Order: sequence, then C-alpha cells, then structure tokens
Amino acid sequence: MSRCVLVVGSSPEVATVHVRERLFRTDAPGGDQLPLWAQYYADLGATIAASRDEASRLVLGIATPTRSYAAVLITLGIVCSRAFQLAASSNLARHFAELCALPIGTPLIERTGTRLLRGKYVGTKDFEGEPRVGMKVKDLTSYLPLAQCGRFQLSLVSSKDNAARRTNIRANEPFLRGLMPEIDPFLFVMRPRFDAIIVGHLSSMRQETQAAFVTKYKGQLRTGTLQDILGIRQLVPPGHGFRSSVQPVDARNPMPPESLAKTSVVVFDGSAAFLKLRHVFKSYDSVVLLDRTETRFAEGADQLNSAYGKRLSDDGFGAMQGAPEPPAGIEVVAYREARR
Amino acid sequence: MREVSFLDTDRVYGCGAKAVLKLHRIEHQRFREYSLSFRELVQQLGDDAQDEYWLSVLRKLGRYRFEASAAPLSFSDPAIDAQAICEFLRDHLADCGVVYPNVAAAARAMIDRLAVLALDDDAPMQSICSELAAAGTDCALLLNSSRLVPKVRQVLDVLSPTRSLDVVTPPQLRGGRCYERLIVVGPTTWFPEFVFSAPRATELHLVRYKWLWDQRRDAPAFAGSADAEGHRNGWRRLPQLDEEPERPSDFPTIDPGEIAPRVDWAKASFGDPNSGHEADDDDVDATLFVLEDNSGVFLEDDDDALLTVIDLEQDQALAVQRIRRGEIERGNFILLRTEGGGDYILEVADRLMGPKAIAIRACQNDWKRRMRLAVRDDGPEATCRALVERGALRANEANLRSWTNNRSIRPQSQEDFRAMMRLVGLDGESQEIWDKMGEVRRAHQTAGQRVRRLLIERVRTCDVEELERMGRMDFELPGEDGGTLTAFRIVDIAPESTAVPSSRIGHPFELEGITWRG
Repeated sequence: MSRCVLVVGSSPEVATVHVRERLFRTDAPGGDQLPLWAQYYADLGATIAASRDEASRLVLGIATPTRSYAAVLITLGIVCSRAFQLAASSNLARHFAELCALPIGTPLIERTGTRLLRGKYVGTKDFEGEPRVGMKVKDLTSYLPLAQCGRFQLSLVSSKDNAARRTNIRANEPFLRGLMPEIDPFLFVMRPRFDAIIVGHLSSMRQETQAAFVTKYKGQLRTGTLQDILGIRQLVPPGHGFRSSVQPVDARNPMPPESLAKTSVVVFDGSAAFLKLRHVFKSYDSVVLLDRTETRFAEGADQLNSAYGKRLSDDGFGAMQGAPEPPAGIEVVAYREARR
Repeated sequence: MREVSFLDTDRVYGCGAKAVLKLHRIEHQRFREYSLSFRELVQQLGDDAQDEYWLSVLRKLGRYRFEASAAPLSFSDPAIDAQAICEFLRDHLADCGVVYPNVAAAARAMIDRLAVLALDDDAPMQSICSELAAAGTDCALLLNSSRLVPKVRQVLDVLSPTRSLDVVTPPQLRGGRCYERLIVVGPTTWFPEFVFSAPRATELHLVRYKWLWDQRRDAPAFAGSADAEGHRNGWRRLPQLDEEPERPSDFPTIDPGEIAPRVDWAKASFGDPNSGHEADDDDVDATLFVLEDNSGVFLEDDDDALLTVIDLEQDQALAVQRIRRGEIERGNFILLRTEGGGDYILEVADRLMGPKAIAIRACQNDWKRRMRLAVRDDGPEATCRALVERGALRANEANLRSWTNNRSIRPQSQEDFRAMMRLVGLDGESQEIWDKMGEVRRAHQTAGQRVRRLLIERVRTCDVEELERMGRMDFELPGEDGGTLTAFRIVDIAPESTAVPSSRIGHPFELEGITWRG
C-alpha cells in the first residue's frame, strides 16, 4: 500500500513552517535556525509555488545585497511547497486513471523498495475482474492494482536512453524525513519534475547546494545538503529523478526543457540572467533576483520597471496570500502580467 | 571563482540591517583655496578653456585637485606630483601674460597656490583614517580608483594604526568579505551606489573635504516599491547620517561631479594622437572601451569577433572564455596583448602553420583588401547587390562588414565566398583560397585552445582579490607560446563608434590627457 499522507494546512504554510522549524544551519554554534533572510527566501518560494493563476503570470523582482544563496533558498521553498501540494492532492484513483490513459510505450519508472526500474507502459489487464496497469522491463511485465499504482510514475527519460534499467534510488532518507516527515523521501526523489528552473551559473549553484545543513530525525541531527532537496538535474546521477534544473546564462541557443511544466517557476539569478533570457521564459511565473552590486543592476531594475508599467495588476502581493514581510536589505516588487 | 559561504552571506545581510553612516568633514584652508581658485580660473577662461594651450594645464591642475581629495596622501606626495606640475606650469605659462593677458594674474596665483601645497606635508585625511583605524579592529579603506592603491598602501604601512587597514576598491565589495569599519575616502557620489545600498561594513565612515558638497542618492530600485501600505515591499531608506550637515556659509562649495574624472567621448574616441598610422592601413569602424587605470582600447565593430575574457563569476575551468565582441560588458576582464604587440592567438596560429603562414596571410590580406576597396568604391549596398548577383546567399551589410574584417577568416558558406572571389577578380583561385582560409581557421582554433589552456592554468593560481582590487593583471604564459597578456577590467564603453586605422585595433593606449579636463 502507498504510504498514507496527512498534511494539515496549505502547502506553502506547511513548507514554510517545516523549513523554519526543521532545517538548521551547521556553520553557527548549536545548530541554529536559519537566519531571517534565508527563511524569507524559502517562505517566498513556498508562497509563489502556490500562487499560480491560469490567466496571468506573477513576476517578483527582488533587489538584494548579494545573490548568494537567494536562488537556491527560493527554490527550496518552491520544491518543498510542491512536495506538499503533490502529497495533499495524491489520489490513487486519479493516478490509476491517468496511467490507464497513457499511450502504450510511454516510459515509466517503478519503485520497489529503494530501487528504481525503468520500463514501458504496456496497458491494462483484468485479473479476476480487477483492472491492473502494466509495465514491461525487458521481458518481464508486472501489473499493479489501484492500491499499488503509486509505485508507477512517469519517467522523463526513455528506457532506451538509459542502459541501466535498474537503479538504486539515492535519497538522503533521514535528512529528508527530518525536514518533511509527512513525505515519503523515496517518492520525493524518484520522480523527475521541473518545480523550478534557475537561470544562472551552474558553478555557483553547485557550490551553494553543497553547503551542509541539518535536520532532526529520531532524536538525532541528520546532515544533508540543499541538493538533497532541490535535486538539480545537472547535479544528480544520470537516470535519477530531479526537482529543479539550471539553465546556463551563457547558453548559445537557450530553450526551455521540453517537459517543463506550466506550473514551473523560473528563478533568474541576477541581472545578466534576466536580461539575456527573459524572453525564453516569458510565460512562466518568475522571480528576478537583482544583486545591487552587479554592474547591470540598474539595467535589470529598469527592465522590470518598464514591465511593471504595463502590468495587468499590481496586486502581486495580494495574489500571494501570506507573503512574508521582507527583512532589512531586501526590496521587493510583485505584479501580474498577461501570460504569453 | 568568487565563492561566498553561507556564513559570509549571513554577514552581508547583517551589515545591511545594522549599517550606520558617520561623516567626517575636513577643513584645510590652503587646499580649499587652491580648489576654489581653480574653478574661478576655468570660469575666467570661458571658451578659451578648450584651447590646446590651456587643456594640458587644466588637466594637470584638475587631476591634482581630484587625487588630493580622493586619497589620504600628503599634499606634497610625489605620487600626486605637485612639484612636477608646478615646474610644467611655470614653463608652459611663461608667455601667458602675452598670449592671455586677461587671465595671467589668475594663472600665476594658481601656480603660487600649488607651489605652497607642493611643500606642504600636511595629510589631514590620513590623520582621520589613522584615528578611525586605531579605534576599530577590522577596517578597510575604500578608494574610488585603483591607480593610487599601491602608493596609499605604502604610506599606510609605515604607520602602526593603519598598517592592518585593507585598501580596497569598489569591485572588491561585491563579494562576501565584510568589515567592521569601512573608511570611504571622498564624496559618496564618487562611488557606485551599492557601496551604500548593499554595505559590506556595519560602520561606514565618510571622509571628505568640507568644500565638497555631497548629496546622496536615496531612492527605491523599483517603481512599484512604494505601495500604498508603505512598508510591505521592503524598501527602506539607506543608512542615514546621524546629522545631515549644513552647507557651509562662509565659503562656496563644489559639486563632487565637477572635479571627478570623466570621459569626453568625442575627444577620447579620436584616440591617442601619438599613435602611428601604418602605411596601407585601412580605417575600420570601432568602439572605444575604457579600461581600468585610464587606458583605452579600440575594438572593431564586429559583434561576431571572438575575444578572450576572464569571467570571475564562473568556476575555474570556465573562467577564461572566448566570447563574442557583442557580448562584452562593463565589468568583464578583457585579455589583451601588452608585450610584443599584435593579436596573440594570431601569432600562435602563424607559428602552427609554419613557413607557409607568410604566404597564406598575404593571400588573406590581399582578398580582404580587394573587398574593402570594392566596398569603398561602390558602397556597401551596391556591393551586396553585386554579390547576390554572383550567387551569394547571405550578402547583407552586417555580414559584409564581418567578411571584410581582418579578424574574421572566411564566411560560413562557400557560395558567399565564391561570390566575393568573382567580384574581386579571383574567381579562378577561389577553391585554393578557400582551402587556405580553412587552414587558417583550423590554426586559429588550435591556437585559441592552446592559449586558453595556458591561461586557465595561470588564472587558477592568480590572486583574484588583487585582480579585483587593481582591475588589471599581467599573465606571463610559459613555453614556446610564451608571452604577456594583460587582463583589463572594462569600466566604460563609448556610446558611438568611430573610424580608426585597423592597426590600432586591440592595442591598449593611455587615455591620459583626455579624461582629465578639470
């Protein structure tokens, strides 16, 4: 049986509270809580993830004294909020129906314990009157009933593209359970999805997501990194699930990933990222981080101000229920504009 | 390369939350009189200030006024050269009474004032900096220009309270290093806004002369920040002075912008008047890039031309990049050949091609020159039409500029190349020249990779902080491809391009005498 998930409160609230109360820094004595500015970014990310509107997109401009850690903390909030959204809306019957509607041959992954199997969807079959969905791995086909169909998930990687059909799921289980006890850590990491795209430098993201943090699980401190949560696609082993991705600023022909969901949030890490690639992601909810020390800060702010002048509504904050108050040194503007 | 830890980031936000500003205004009567009488001299000169006779005088006087206000040095310090300026002025203005009798008295008074300062060992800014450094543990001194950093460092090292002071320039305040105290030398408007809006110290001490009237900018970054509810968006005024100073009533003041260096693009883009013009040297459209330390370089207006830059945002393996000319921005470090002259990659490529390089280059120069002549005679539009008639697929003015440019080797498409050969009477040799240009291209690629590898190794071991502080650094490359390349920070880019001889492209030159107009 799939794990029963009980989530009380809205997903951004839960994510916000969990990050604030369960994630601790390791570089201050005594495992201190995250500082206010860090909590703010994570809270903001959680709130944005839950503020989607079909007709308009949210644009959030943030002027910061430094870009460091802002993008990854916002993405942390987005990923956690989305995890709770998914858990809260998890409905096996709907998932079963969605699987049944898939075209034959669709790449699937199956989780068995801590392992992932890759295969293809082969359709449904009745077993003594009970419909089951099937997945084929090499010559072996397995059929799961509704009660177990959560083990099958869509794969964004074709089984042909990956020689290894069987992969161990790598999850920092105690760290993730310490942060989000309601979420199955293996389900959390196994599914490939783009909760957020960070437009920035992969090298910075690599460094920042490797910083150590701790959570508490079963009475002990559990060490992990932001990458354990963010699962940046370029930094996970091939064939593994991911939750976010980095779009390099200096890409020659940048394109949004084909499987980018409409609900993905784009985080522009700096003026150069925003000025160069804003046209690529103009239909997505966006966070624009402008570092006041950047050479092109004023240019980035001017661009945002110009777009603000053509906004649909400046009720950006109103749309973000429970948006937190920025701490000292951070200036924010939020507005909505038409999705293109 | 510029790694900032979580702890450093926390300190940065801590500075933003706690920063306070303190103002220290200095009075020095003789320097004030010099500064104000300089302004009077310029006013008296009126339009004559633009005459060559006065330009060199005003540059020197203006430069002294600025540097003595921008660094904690004594008025007689040789680094700011008061003695040498006096000697120059006495010589240069010897006939002033005959040529400009109306201003001769004012000019003589100016020289007398400067002569007094040239013997004055007072260093009032240094005294304040020493007091501030003695009272704090983790202090830095912020200068707005890298030029005087070594000299200031040398002076401060002699005094015990200031020996431990870090001497920094604004780009160094972009990272995660924070101080307890930052001593800002000069008016706030001489510094980028982020020094105050994203402070890297909890105490910012502003040290400046009283006669400089400084009005700080203080506005939200976003138009939408000032919402009806006031505080929701996080914009708060910058750290405030405990008490706003009143404008002095007993003497006039000067706007800091009036004495700061500025680029006169019209004059600067005219270029270095002393540079040679090689025979058979075509003019090309180029843009002036102002480099750190008052130098400049012309880069040809070809957005596709590749140039080598250092990007400190990238990790080591990617820090040295070949990027297109059109992608270069202020703040980038551009690598230019400063020893031996010429394009370094071109030189390595020639070595790779061996003895045949001379003939191949001659062939390349020949067809490019023929094409440029065709463009000059018929104009770009007619030349494009002629190329299309001869089978060119992508003949337009932008491509034509690129094809005739010495930095590009050959077009992507052989049809375009063949059309050019037909146009310039080389149809019969088209294939042979195409192949030769292919060889040049391969040699350039190999040379580029080789130089990049050598540079990556050098950049990996370089002192990045020093590069940030000084805005320029020499890189000696080892082995047979050895040579010196200098990384210059780009501080400004001319708004318009200008025609310059092609031999001047890529060669840094001193902007001295052009940017200092007092």
